[in-house]
Amino acid sequence: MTPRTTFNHELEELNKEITEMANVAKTAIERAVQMIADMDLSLREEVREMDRRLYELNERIDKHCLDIIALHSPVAGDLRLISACLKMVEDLNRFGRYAWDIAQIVDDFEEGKAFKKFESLRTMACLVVGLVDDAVYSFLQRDAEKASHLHERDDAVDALYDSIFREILTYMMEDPHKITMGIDLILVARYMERVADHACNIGEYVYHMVTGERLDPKARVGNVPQNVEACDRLFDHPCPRTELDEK
Amino acid sequence: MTTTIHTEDLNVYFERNHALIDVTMDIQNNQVTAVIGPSGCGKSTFIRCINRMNDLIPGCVVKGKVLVDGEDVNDDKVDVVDVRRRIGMVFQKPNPFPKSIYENVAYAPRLHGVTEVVDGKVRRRKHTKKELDEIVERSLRRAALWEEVKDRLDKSGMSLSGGQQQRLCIARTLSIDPEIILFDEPCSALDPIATSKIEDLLVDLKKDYTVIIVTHSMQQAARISDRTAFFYLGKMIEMGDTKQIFERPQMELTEQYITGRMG
Repeated sequence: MTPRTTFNHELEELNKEITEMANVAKTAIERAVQMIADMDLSLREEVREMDRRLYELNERIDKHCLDIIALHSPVAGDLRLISACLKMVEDLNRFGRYAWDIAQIVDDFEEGKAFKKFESLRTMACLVVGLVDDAVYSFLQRDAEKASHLHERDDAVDALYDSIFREILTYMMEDPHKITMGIDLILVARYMERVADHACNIGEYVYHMVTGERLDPKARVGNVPQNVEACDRLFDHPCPRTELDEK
Repeated sequence: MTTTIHTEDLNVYFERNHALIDVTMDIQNNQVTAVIGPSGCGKSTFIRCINRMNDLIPGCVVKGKVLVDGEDVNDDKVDVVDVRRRIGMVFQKPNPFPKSIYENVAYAPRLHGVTEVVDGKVRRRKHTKKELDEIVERSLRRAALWEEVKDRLDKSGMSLSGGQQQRLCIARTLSIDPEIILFDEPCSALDPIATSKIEDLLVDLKKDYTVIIVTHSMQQAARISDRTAFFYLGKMIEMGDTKQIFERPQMELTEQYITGRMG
């Protein structure tokens, strides 16, 4: 009989749950971004359902982790896995929350076409989906190398956010009638920027889970790309411009 | 942190059984060092080398060095009685003498007597009653037992509970003021409350003594030790700070053992 059969079974179950949650969270962000790209309002309910599901999974996994700690006293790699799961569920849950926030804004948006015209925002959405995708992938594949590079790409997203913020601010100053629309656009950009931050958090947990080392905060300091082209170069899979460029 | 004990290429044979293989390690002053590993891996054999308890086992051969403060305890010139006075030991099962609580603690000081220098000559004499009373009280206090037994010192040590008996054995060890104390699974016969008291005591004792504990409970090692050594099949596989061993072991075998997947 393999030692610690019950414990191993619990870990397998936990892994299934967190994998499901990661996939739902990733899909929720993808759907929200799709709403921006295609103005496909039919996705609204799907995003809402995924947000609810993520909340349920957050509660369930959180409890499951505490049960495992209380009953099985995990150490070393097992403890790092559970610690990562406990923290990750919060970030994955936030993915759902932000996806739903974005969906609501897009749905309420009177001049939805403005999203399509706003190139930088759609580029940012694309970059964020790539980041979320890789954060989830790095966890599922236990890929510390990939996890360690997410921060560099988050810096690119942050730079884009700053740029978008300044641009929208200018529009709003020029024409007060665009303030409502401008605030909505800024909020969407802000939510996506936060999603990228949460994806980076996941990268940190994955790195620690796999290697036992903490990511060096100094490693984050580097050249921040200031334009979209430079941002694109940081990604393994560049933005599918053909879909997004439709006007 | 200075090194108290240094072993070098330590090998132990029980006739044909090679029980300990090339163990080289440092144990530092005023720390609790835990030795963990599956049954039969050589943990007890290792700590018994430190105060030469293995000498008592027929057919046992010890090779290599065990330096305590730079002196090899296996050297022919070393007085083994003095080694065991300096390096006390507490065993798995509480084993008080069938005597009163007072006599259990006073027994060793009475046996060793007091060595003092008078007019340039080394002289041994018996303890006075007052000196013995002081030693008994001090040792029982240090073992966190005084308050529980001070009104019944004349009662048999065997009348105490298991946890109290174990603390009495610790007081007995402390009575001759050792430098190092070896604990061979001191809590395995105790309930959780008694275990917790002994664990608190061990952590407190490291201020004055160097403590080495063999334990089967990995959680106990994690709770009380500063450094942990993992033994497997007679070899020391890994030694490091306890936090490192339990959070980020370097060796795959250690990870497998502490996560319960082997052993």
